[in-house]
Amino acid sequence: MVSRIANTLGAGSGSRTLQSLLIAVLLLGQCGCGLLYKHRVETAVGTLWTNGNLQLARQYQEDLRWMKEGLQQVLPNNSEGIGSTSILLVQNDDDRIIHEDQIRTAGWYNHTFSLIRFTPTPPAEKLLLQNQPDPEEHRTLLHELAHHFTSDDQRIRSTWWLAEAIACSLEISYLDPQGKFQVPPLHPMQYQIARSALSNLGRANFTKLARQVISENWLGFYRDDGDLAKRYAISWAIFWTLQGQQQGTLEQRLDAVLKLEDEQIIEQIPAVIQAITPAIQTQLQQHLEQDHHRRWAIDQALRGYRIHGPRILEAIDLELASADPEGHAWAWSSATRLLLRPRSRLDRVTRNDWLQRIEQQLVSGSLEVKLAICTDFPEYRWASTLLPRLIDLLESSDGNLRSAAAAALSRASQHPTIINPHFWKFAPESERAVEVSDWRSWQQNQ
Amino acid sequence: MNWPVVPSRLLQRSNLPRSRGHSSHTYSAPTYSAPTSSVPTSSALVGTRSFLSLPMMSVALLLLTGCSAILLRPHAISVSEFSREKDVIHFMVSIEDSTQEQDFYRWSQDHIQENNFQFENPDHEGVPLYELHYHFRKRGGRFRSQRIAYLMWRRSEASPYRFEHKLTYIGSGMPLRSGRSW
Repeated sequence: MVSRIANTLGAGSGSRTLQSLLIAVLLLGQCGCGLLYKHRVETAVGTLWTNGNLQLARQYQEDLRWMKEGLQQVLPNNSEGIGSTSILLVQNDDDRIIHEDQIRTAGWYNHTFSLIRFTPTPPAEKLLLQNQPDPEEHRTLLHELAHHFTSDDQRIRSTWWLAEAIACSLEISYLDPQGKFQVPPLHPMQYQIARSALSNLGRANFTKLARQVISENWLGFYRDDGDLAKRYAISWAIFWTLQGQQQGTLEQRLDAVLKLEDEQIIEQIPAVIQAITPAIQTQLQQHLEQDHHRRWAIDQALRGYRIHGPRILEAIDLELASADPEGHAWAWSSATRLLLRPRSRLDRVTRNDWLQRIEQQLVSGSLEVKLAICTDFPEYRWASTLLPRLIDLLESSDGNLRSAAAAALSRASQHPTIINPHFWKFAPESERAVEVSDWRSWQQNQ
Repeated sequence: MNWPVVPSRLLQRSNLPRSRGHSSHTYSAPTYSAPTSSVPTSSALVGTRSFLSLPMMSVALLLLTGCSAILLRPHAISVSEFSREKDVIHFMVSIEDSTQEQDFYRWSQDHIQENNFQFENPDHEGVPLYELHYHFRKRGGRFRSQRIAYLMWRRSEASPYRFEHKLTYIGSGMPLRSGRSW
């Protein structure tokens, strides 16, 4: 066929173009992404390509190992015989610019090419979120990886809402202190978006939208009409409700949901509405008593606007009873975040009692506990009883602790100080002593 | 066909004297005006060309003003500063018009260099500045202003004699923290 076309002059040039194209495709296929990307890192799930920071790529190399093992553990049948995937790690030049209300595509997965592309949280955004306990760095990658691990199942692949709902359910998975992969019982962000949609739309319109979500095709589901986040959240809420009605492991419950017909799923929309009606704090409280999700539930609960402090303090006390030193540091930092905030429903006696306990830790706790308390010390003006202890820590022998104490003082008091960590870590003691003396004078005048 | 040549110097920043006044905490910031005074007059150019050059010259003038406009920095009406730390300053910059996002960067960069913040701390002598925060506001009607951009610069760890741009936030939703540490 090729030789016959080559007989004519016109076809000759066409053939040459075709040959060049074929060679280019073959070369690209042979070299893979090597032509487009500078760095290639082999990971547990496949090759990771990037033009950006190699150090960051290596960090993801480590993470991909536990992500793969975790997904294999929760989806043993689905992940059986799963092939490798290529991962494109994209870092943009304008990572330092954040546009309000701009929605960027954090990642996507293509089953045909077995390709994941994701953009990590830009450094500027991390800086913006640094005072939040969990900047959710792994979420996008885990979401796309969940697509990869479930995409061999035709039923999931062809049902867009379900594919996204499963990926959303798995994206918030984490490694617990014992190194065990945990899938949290609910997705707080999706729960709140779905609940807010219910509140704004009302039951009738929410039902209509949920029905639409179930029947949408690819274009309909992913269209950029401002409601995409809502469709993700409603998908998650439907799957979360349906799998909650089933028994067994996550994969068994997933299989049971996959067997449901669309009409059966639509019939369950009232149950979805009922499931997302309680406040998120009420949902989280159920998990404060479970050992394996307690820390996760406390972290999530502390993010709320209005929280049930006494219940969370009870859960923190349970964590303090454990012998794990890392757990102690985490628990004391959580207690600090809980006490030094408004709308926690704590009575004066309980608050004072716990403030004394925190003060005691700042005096005689371990270095890890002191560091954790200072690092998470919030911007809260009613922490005056703890300020003298923080000032004492400015004279600690540990540079990191001095620096963390200065940052905590900066957040908690009106008195101007030096916040440059380099100063507190490395400046000569005589220079630091001037600053500490300034703090002491201020303290005496209070 | 001869196109009027745009002198390259016209595409550079004007060296016109900049107005600047000082008070203890409020001063007018350095501004850059469009280099209109250096643009050759149309009659001078038309005299050396046929009337056919007129449309081309119009295009050239358009290009010229276009290029000049790109080099404009936000025109700052006023700059005020506040700080609750010894080594951190927040600047509230009021501007008249909307501008491109890169211009906020350039304006703040120039402001740092011209005030020598790498080496000098105007409020606390001997304490090197660590962070500089710029809050740009656009003046609206009836004395109301709208926050439009926020920039953060931090002293570089690798080269301590320069400031590093850490982030630009374009929009009005950025919470104005009380000048505390990030």
